[in-house]
Amino acid sequence: MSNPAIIEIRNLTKTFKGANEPAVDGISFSIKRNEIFGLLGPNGAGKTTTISILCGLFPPTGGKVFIDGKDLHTEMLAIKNMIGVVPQDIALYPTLSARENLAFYGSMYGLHGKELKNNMDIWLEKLGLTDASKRQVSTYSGGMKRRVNLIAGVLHKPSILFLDEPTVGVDVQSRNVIIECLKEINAAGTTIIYTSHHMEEAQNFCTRVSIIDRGKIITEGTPGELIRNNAGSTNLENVFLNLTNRKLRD
Amino acid sequence: MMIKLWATVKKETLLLVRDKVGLSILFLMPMALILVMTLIQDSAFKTMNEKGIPIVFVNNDHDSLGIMIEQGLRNNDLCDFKDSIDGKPATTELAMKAVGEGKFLVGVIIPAGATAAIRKNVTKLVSETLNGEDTATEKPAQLPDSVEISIIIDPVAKKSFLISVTSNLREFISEVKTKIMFQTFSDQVAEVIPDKPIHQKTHIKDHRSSAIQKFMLPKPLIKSCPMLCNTMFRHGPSLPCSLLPYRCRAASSKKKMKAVYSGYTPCLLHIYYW
Repeated sequence: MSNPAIIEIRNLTKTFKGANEPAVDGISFSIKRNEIFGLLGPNGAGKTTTISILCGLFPPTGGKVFIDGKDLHTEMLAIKNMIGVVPQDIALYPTLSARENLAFYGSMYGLHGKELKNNMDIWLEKLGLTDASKRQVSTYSGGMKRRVNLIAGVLHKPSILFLDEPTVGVDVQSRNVIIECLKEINAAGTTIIYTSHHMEEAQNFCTRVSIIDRGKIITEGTPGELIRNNAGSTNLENVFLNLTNRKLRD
Repeated sequence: MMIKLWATVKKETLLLVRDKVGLSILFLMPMALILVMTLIQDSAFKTMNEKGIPIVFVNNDHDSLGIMIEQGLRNNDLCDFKDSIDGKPATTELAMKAVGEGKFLVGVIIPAGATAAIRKNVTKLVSETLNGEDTATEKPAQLPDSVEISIIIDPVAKKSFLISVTSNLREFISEVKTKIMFQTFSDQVAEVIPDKPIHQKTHIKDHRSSAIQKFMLPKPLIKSCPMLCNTMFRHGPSLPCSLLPYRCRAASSKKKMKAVYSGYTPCLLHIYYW
């Protein structure tokens, strides 16, 4: 039995007001259920814009998005309940403790009482934050904040999880824990859409990747396929540099 | 929905409580504002409050009105009263110059013959009212019909201070007018009504508390009462206020009588005891 697409994107376009060029320029792709899909690209390629549209943060200029068969434009509320978002920036209240932050975000997703407490305890334990959970987030290290940020996105057990550079600015230990946790989440049935600048991480973590540059998808496939199809490339980073060239970006 | 609302309220409360700087701004800034405003206000009032409003007084009248206003301003804590400028007795010209130079905030000038003019007008009025014709003997042609008190104001002076000074002046003028009116009225009535023996007063007092019908004012006074009230209503608010309760409540109780009597000027009491 074939794996149906959980996310279907058709000719998605986004042009910001006053911009000369579109941030996302008519991209089309689909993400299958339970995949770990990597959206890779240099700075300003349109990764965050694409994810923001998929999360419903702002509407597209054109094109269609279907999430689990539901039109993003007409069934936003139903879609929002099934997705989790881990943004690029730390979206935590620094004067609240990790528990207080998570309680707030959990409540926003409709969790309460024992369920909320149990979920918090499990995730804090998994990511090694139980002891520090009652301290204010402002006292945390960058890695700890990233971990709490991740928990805030997965606490309600979403079926689709959007991760916008979840491991940026963290040490190897924290990154390792985060990746392991994400693999565990994926194993439990969550589809993951992930953006990153770490090509090695993406190569090891993603089941399928799409390289985007200047708002357009320039290649798509499993990391192995992309390496094989690009002569002379031994890893995903080589593929990425060959396709997006070595010129510095703004 | 309620869970989300409760979670938001809880989160906002925690954020507020833990935001020491925000909290201090929230509570301390209004206090600081009040403090600053108080200090500013205090410094603004200080110049006035320590000595009062510097007032120069020029008394060209040298009679009841001038003297009364002078005494009133001298005894008023709000005023820093001066009737001389640089050791010289204040004159109209000197006062205008001094106020212009900012030495005084207010200058009050009572014109010559102010009291005499008031007296003339009141005498004329009372005579006309009581006798139906002008029998006033004193008719000095040079006295004006109206009295014009000049107030020279420094533009710096606050409106509230000026209002206070002018209202005080009005009060003094009104008091002088009333006094003159009572005096004139008393003199005129004394001419009309013949002197009665003292025992009649005792007779009236005996009937006051026991028989309302028997307590009557003397005939000449009753006759003149409508005219009196008419005069009083037109020319002095304090007089009808004192008289009317007497007419309405005179015989009702001893207590009321006392209360009414206590408010009268000696002059008025003299009339009632007649």
